[in-house]
Amino acid sequence: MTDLFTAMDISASGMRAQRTRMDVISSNIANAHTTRTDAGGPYQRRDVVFRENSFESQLSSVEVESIVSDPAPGKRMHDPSHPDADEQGYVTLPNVNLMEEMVNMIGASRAFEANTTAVKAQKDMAAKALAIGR
Amino acid sequence: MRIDPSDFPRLSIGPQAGQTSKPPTESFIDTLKEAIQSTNTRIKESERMGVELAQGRSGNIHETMIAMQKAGISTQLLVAVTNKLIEGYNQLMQLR
Repeated sequence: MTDLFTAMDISASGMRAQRTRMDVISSNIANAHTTRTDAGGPYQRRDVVFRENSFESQLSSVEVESIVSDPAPGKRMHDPSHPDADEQGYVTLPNVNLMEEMVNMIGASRAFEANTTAVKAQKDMAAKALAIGR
Repeated sequence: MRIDPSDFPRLSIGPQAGQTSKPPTESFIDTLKEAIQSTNTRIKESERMGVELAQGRSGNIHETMIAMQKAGISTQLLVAVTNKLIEGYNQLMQLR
């Protein structure tokens, strides 16, 4: 059953999803120069995959289905003094593009903001509805 | 274009044709009690989340804020309904 607060729950799920996206972007930025990982090799940048979560016939909130890593090859840099350099003296760096991550970050914060604006509008609508009785 | 008068809803007070008047299954007081219960639950929930946020046990800022808003709106709605109820009672008491 939907009520006054259904829209708020949906917006909350959107904010939760964007926060997870922000976590992933932060991880990408923080590991932009990491050459060692548990799986071996340089860090691979990650991305979130969102999925709708329908709970009413025509309504759905959003959830993070998975966090996938980007298999694109990283940039190779010639640095023979680096401990992770191969025989030719090349180091494979993470496939993180800082500019791209910055753009994604703007996207995530704007999407979060859009959800907060929706919550604000819902709150105002409830207040307006209450004002009928005054 | 032909206009069929039966397309328009009839303005009438009381049950309409083809509609049987069902006795109300629950009284207004039961509904009000339910509303008080759910408002109380929302207030408790927002309080719990606020305490958890303040103690650093949860980092859910937006969910806490939304829970607080929900509690606030629920309370306002409940107060509006009870105010109307008392207003109606007072009007009835002035019938003389």
